[in-house]
Amino acid sequence: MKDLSAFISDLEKNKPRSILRIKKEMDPEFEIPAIIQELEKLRLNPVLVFEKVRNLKGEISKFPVVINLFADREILAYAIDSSVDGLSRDYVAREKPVPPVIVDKVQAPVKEVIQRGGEIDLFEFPILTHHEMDLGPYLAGGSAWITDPDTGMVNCAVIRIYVAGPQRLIVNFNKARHSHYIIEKYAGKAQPMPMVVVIGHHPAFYMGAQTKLLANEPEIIGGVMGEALELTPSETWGAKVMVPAQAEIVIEAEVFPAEVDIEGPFGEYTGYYGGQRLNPVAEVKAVTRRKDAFYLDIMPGHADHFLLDAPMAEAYLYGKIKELIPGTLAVHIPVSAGARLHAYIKMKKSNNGEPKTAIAAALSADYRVKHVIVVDEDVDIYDEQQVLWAVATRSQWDRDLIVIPGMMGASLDPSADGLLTAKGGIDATKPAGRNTFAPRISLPAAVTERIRLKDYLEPGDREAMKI
Amino acid sequence: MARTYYVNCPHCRRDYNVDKTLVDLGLAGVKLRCPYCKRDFIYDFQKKESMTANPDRP
Repeated sequence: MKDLSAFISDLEKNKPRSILRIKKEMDPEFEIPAIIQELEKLRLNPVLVFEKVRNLKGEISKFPVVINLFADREILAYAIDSSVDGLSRDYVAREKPVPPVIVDKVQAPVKEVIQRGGEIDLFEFPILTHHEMDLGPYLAGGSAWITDPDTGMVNCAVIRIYVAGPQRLIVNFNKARHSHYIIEKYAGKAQPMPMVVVIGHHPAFYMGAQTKLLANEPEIIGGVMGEALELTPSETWGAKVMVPAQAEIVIEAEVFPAEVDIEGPFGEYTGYYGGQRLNPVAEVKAVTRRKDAFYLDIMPGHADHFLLDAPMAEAYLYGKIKELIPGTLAVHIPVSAGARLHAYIKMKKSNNGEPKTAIAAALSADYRVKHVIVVDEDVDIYDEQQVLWAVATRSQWDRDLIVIPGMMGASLDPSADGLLTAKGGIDATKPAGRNTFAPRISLPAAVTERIRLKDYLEPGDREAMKI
Repeated sequence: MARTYYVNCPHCRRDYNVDKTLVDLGLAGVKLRCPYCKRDFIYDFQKKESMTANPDRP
């Protein structure tokens, strides 16, 4: 069965340059984020395993911290046996429901250690404080599972969870996401909401859990992982609420929708702090884990956070737009806009109405997408210089710009009015048809195929230029 | 017009931002916690000032 431990061993054996173990002692406040920032300056995004991190009691924790698991598209592609170029396409192909299988607790590694009641102490874990103005330690790598009380469907979302005490959490449910609608149902019934926080699993598990489909998400996780997800009964609610058997750590908590406390500020994907707010309180009822569990964290506001979501959102948008416009070729959600707010669409258009139709579809399909640029098939949407060149030379904003005020957007965008945001898009495509636009500059193919730079350089220059 | 609402911690006198949802509630007395000094204080969103005296102020 796929799990995080086996994936790390696989990387160390087969892709050793993609993973780095750090054995020096680390403080849980800011030091690991500082290492990630240093690596990013060098344009490096390896998976990181920190072996000696202090916990919230100041002791060396027995749980190594795994972070940056999602910071590289190549690793994400590797996790689902795909390639960087084929990641979105292959994700869509796998994003199909596969019913989970139920296993007995004795077969579940996540039940090797079980803590209940007074035995629970979240401060044993190396829970990181990521940015200077964060309120404190946050579970940033937990996939929170909640169940719709009407449909029984399980929703999974990576959300920020403030650790307010050894058994107390404050949970941020985004008002634009499905999870908010579910907690509202429990609030309406004046009932506490069961929540399972899954910390650490195979990356394909998290990729499946980030599906944008309205589905029973553990089934989609099975599809994306390529094997049925193993579930086992929770300690708190028995078979009414199931937990992933191969997880590293599972926290079972009851969320009280009507009881709120302070949460935030917290450094977010926008590159800004989301402000302090009041959010629901949760009481931890049980913690179960492997004996030698890894503690998974996700570095907010950096590649680890951006890429956990972008390929899945690209796959979702691609499917939605392709249904309307068959000439849609690819969608890219760039990290330059927090991997949430911008989308670039490449298409081979057949009429002049298609780009604006694609813009409207993209702006509606994902509430966070705020600006869309549509380009032709000759533009590389993974190269922002080319995208901006297309905007500069193929658009006239009096006819090619759409602005829709007052849409539901990302409330973490500091320029927005809460959930309300103005969205827009630019049609940066040439007019449809042959010979409708200026020709691009180019060189004769016969010459570019013949000329090889290395043949024209002196040996010393070749060496200096590493050619 | 400012798009972000800042409060000033009465303990350490540093500013930080609060979310629009909290501002819109307009409550007269809300317990807040300074992310810098981790101390709690009460804030009045109607008067737009802290209700907790600054202990360091003479």
